[in-house]
Amino acid sequence: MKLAKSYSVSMNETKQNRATRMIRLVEYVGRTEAWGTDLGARVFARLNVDLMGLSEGTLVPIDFAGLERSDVSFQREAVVETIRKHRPRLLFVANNLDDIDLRTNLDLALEKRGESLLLVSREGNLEVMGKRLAEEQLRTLEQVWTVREATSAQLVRADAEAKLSTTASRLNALWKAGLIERVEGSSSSGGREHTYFAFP
Amino acid sequence: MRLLSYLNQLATIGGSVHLVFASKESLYAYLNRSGFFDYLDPRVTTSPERPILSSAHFYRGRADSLVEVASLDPKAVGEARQDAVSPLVTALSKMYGEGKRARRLLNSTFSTLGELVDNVYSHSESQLPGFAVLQAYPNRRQPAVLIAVSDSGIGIPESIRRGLRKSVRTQSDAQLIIRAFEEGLSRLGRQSGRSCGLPRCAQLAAEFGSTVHVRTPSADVTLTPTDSLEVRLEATIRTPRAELSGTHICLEFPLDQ
Repeated sequence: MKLAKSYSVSMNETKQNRATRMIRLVEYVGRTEAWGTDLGARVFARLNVDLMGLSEGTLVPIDFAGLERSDVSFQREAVVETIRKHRPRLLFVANNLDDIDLRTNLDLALEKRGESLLLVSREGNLEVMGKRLAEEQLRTLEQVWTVREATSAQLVRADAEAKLSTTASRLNALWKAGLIERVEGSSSSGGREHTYFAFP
Repeated sequence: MRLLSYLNQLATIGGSVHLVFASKESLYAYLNRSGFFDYLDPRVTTSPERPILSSAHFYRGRADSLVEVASLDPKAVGEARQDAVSPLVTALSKMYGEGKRARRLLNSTFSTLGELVDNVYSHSESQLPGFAVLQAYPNRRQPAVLIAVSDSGIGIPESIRRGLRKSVRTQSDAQLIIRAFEEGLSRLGRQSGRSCGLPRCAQLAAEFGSTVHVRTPSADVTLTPTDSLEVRLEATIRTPRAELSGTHICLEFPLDQ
């Protein structure tokens, strides 16, 4: 079983006033255990309707509390396909995922689909589940988590060895993977510039 | 379960099938209690004759060790599928009881059962129902619960072969089964993410020291936990003796507390 190391992260407010829409998975399942592609697909359909109208940048914590057990197929259809559909527009995190089997099954489903997802522990630590990030991507992610918001130029200024194009491309990859938020703005020179935000 | 699927398959292709029991004791009584006769194709005749009263129907949910056969009707959709497996899950919960280790075992067993049953619905392509059953052995030196899931479909190798590239497609059925459990193979391709169920079952089986038996029309594979510290299974391949459609998987999980 592969699980990335976890990080203790400051939960200070960012500049953004972010809307949040909590998804209590057990309410969508209607029972405390869930298995199979069919049930997963039905939960996906319900989630899809509810998430469709949310505005860009909404934080969507997927709460596993109350769901006692599930298999990989359910998690793939219900959770992984949902985040694939709505990323990077919506910002997903998983929480209350304490059970080792639930967690391993989700981890496996994410990895097989080439997806990652942030897991927030009860203590507020963050962990990247699913697809393993390259060391350098992980370093960039840690930098964003530390400063909470940054442009690629700001990160490069803080790291003498970093190149702008490489940093920009890593940030873009992390944004596409749904691990950080991106907001479009303009630079002091008048050009387009993206600011990246840590979440949750 | 394998016998039930086999008899129903024979009846469906038009054969005359007669099942003879030596007596009404032991095996006949056990099969009656498990619900075997409830799902046996009506065209199959038996001697002694089928029981008038199904003891599975009468005593349903009352045994500690045996859980009556769950029929996996291919026409069932939505909640009906979940409901078909619910009695098995309830029984598992009772068997394992409370506690951290019990919860771990229950959730692992549930996960495996879910994957195997899901495969029947998703991949067997059979019009005949599949079956799932649990049997607990609490009085063994190493108490265990057996899970058996059986269907009359096309079998794992035939199902996954369609989506594979030629170099993999031409491998033997047994090799494909082993790869499906070891690394995950799907007819929908790697990108679909649809190939993680069987590897997860294998992972859990290896972790709990369980042997997995897989029987398909032309392959009979046993995956056994290795003695090494690494959590993995090694395969033994045999040639099946009788023509039997579908996939039949059987494995055990510890029942200890």
